[in-house]
Amino acid sequence: MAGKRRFYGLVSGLVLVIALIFALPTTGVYELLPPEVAEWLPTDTVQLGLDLEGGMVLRLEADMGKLPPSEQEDAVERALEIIRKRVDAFGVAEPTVEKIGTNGISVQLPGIRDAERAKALIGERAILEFMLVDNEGRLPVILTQANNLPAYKGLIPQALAVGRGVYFPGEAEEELKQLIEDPTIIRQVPRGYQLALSEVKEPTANDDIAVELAKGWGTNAQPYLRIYLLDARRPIKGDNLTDARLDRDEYQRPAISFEFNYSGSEAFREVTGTHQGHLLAIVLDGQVISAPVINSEIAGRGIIQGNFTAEQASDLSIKLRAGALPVPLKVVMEDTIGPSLGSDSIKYGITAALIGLAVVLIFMVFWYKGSGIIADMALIFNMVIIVAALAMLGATLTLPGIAGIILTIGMAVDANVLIFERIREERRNGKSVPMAVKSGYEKAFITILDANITTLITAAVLYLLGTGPIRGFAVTLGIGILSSMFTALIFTRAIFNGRIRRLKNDKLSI
Amino acid sequence: MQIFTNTNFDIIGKRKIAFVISALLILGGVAGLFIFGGFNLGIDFTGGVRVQVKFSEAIGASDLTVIRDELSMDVYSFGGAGDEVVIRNKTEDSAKQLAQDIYDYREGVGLFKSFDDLLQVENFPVELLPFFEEQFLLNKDVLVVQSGSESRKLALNTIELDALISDIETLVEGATRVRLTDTLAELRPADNYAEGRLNLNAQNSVEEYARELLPLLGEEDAPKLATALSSARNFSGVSTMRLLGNMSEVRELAGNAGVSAEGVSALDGCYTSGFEVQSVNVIGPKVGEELGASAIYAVIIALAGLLIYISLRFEFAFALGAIAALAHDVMVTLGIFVLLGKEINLSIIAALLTLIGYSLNDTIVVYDRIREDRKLLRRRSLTEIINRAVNETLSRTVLTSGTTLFVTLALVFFGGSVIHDFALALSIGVLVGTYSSIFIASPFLIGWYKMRGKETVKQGGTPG
Repeated sequence: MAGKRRFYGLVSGLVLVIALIFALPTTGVYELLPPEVAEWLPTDTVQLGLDLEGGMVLRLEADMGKLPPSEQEDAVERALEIIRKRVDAFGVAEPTVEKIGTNGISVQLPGIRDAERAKALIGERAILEFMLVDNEGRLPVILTQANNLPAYKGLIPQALAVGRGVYFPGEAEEELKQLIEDPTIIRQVPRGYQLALSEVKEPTANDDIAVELAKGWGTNAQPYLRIYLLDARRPIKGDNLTDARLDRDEYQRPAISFEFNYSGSEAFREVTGTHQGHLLAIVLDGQVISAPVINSEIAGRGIIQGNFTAEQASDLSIKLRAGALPVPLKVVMEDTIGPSLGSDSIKYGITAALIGLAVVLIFMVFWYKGSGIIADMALIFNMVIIVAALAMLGATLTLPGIAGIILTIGMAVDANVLIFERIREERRNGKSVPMAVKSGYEKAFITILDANITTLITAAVLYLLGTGPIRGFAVTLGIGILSSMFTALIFTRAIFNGRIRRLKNDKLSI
Repeated sequence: MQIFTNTNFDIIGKRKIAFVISALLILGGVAGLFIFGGFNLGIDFTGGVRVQVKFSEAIGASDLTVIRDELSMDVYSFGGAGDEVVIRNKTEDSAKQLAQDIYDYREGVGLFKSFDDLLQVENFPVELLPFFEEQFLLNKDVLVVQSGSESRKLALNTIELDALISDIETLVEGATRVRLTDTLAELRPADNYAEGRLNLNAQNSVEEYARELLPLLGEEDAPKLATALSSARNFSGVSTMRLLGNMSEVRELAGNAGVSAEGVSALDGCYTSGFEVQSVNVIGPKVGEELGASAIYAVIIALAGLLIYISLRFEFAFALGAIAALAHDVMVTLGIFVLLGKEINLSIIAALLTLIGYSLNDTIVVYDRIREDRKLLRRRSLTEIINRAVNETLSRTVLTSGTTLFVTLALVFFGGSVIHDFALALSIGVLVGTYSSIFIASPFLIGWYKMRGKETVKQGGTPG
């Protein structure tokens, strides 16, 4: 008997110390400690979920219909890997990228403010190719033939050649996109070649091309775009890159410098060595970013110029470093939570928790007097265990998770209520205090076990089938049930045992 | 302090009254379903866009009507302060119908020759026309995929129905967001807004303000104003963050905080927004279906697991009684939610599952006592034993329900708008669950044994 008693006390003390140590970092007391002590303590704090911290959750779905069957097999896994690299390079703290179902990918980005930028960074394929621009004047021939088709009668006469390029007004973009995909036009294109467009450029102050075009069209300077005929037979692919960085070109505009691996390097050397004076188009996801003149043989490295802002160039270099997505992704779910909503939720949650806790604490003392204080100690101990367990498990605290903790406050006293009611009953039946306590605990034990296991089953189902925030609820509820069983059955028992020994007359405050 | 000591309420005798009350509650919910035309399902299950917006001041009913008319979406006030609004648009039905109408027109009346022809389509929403011009091509039988995964263009005259539905859904969703921000910006224009200026309502903490203000105000003034702005937004303890109303308020705050004259004039580089989009939730219809299915699975799997556990620990009849009580709890709680017009979403399903666990907890305490008393009192009838067990545990049942109800009500009243309905579902569930474990789960056993002709058998039972 004495051994068992000591056991209860020992276990309770041990758990209390461990729980306090792990709960400490989350409370912020940590910073006040001298470094020699802090060094020995764990540093994990409870992580806040996106709904409390603010940020973005994306769910993407791979569009397998666009892939040949041979490439479908591990496409999602490869996409996952690439998204991870992109997100890491973007500098998001503690992102989560995981697979959902067969074709789904979930991405969680805490603290992200610019949702559109994040979506572009993750969802765009970023297929980079280098292709020679046709140097034999075949583009005007194709355009002349297009001019014979009724659909493009209004379009083609707007074309203007300036320098080595053929340009159209920016507003013709949609029609040109139809044109380059039109099967009748594609039949006119030599085998292995393809038509491509640049993006629409806004005219700037020193833009010679814009000036020439305006003269030709008899208008003011206006947006324009360029059409290319590309030799697509042997493109040099972006997957040969070993590095891509945000850089500046000779005019100090944002650009991307890149480096090739050995085979890319050799291919690049060959193409640039044998085609000096030709144009080399840099094509991203089917659109020509720029097409510089090849002035000399280039091997390992180069720079991509384009009409970038620093942000765009930086994001593009991230995408190039991480690689192209092997499959097109579609955003099927998106959740953006602003930071102020998150901090509101925390405030609200803490307020509700404190009020609930205070009411229950007071009520228990009112109802069970001295024993109520023991139950209250158990309840507070319980809270410490929950915080410590969340920190230890690296679990994420969400708003429903806070609700789970609050619900635990209400339900945790249940075990004590069961025991106390049983002790009262035994006392009414005339048993002595030690006997009443002993049989109260023993008789309540099975009930507590059965009742809590059923709640644990539902928590487990919620965890397995729920999504983010609901999982957070399941985790805190589950931890709460386990710790409340521990505090009610072991911790309060230890205290009761201690009190009974010191009890003079046969009176228990319950 | 004690209540319910040595009580002897005739619970079993009153069971028919209880059954009638429960039946009425459930029927009420069913009637509500017919009156309101089904559950008010959230976008978790239907797919769609849900945007939570906060304004710089409380927003009146007339403004809500303006937003509702302009957008033709669900618009409702949210939270206690009256400055938060939820705007919701379910894609499911409207987008599907629109796609079908467009398809029918093309197959029946003829090909679209210009985008204006779309206006001839039955019930075509005029406000969506510009978005069609951006998204769809005419006359071509090719699919053009631009750079990026989302900006694809589709041939309106040749597209298959399935693809059309999916793309109209995407289009409606995108259009919703654009129209929404446009409408709100018109209703509550930003003060001093210009491209590139700093939005003073986009920051939160003192550090954030200080960092953003530093280039404008300099090292002297930026921290002063940062402290003033952050505390003005967090103005009273537990209430929510508030938006700065206008720039004159900011200038006044700057003056009071001792910001220099140059600093105050540098504030021309800032603006205050009249509203802030607090959260955007977009769910594709397919995901919605999946979420709905997994919610149903969750409930079924939970019930099955519990049935197995109770059958193992008690008898099958007890398991049936417990499940009957749970089904009762779920139906009554859902019914009350239908009658209150509340939205059923994923967090409500989570609340229902929690309530299942909680109600069962209650039921099992009583069952446990029945099992114990059956061993002790072999000569008594089952009715007596059950009555006794319910009475013995009554005190505990009421106490635990009481403390749990305290905290769930604390959540309802102080937990904030986001968690309000979830907490409300829990509170209703605790009440209903307590009621059912006393008046449904145990009396069910009597009914069951009576039906099987076992009521008079004075038996010890076969505890697990």
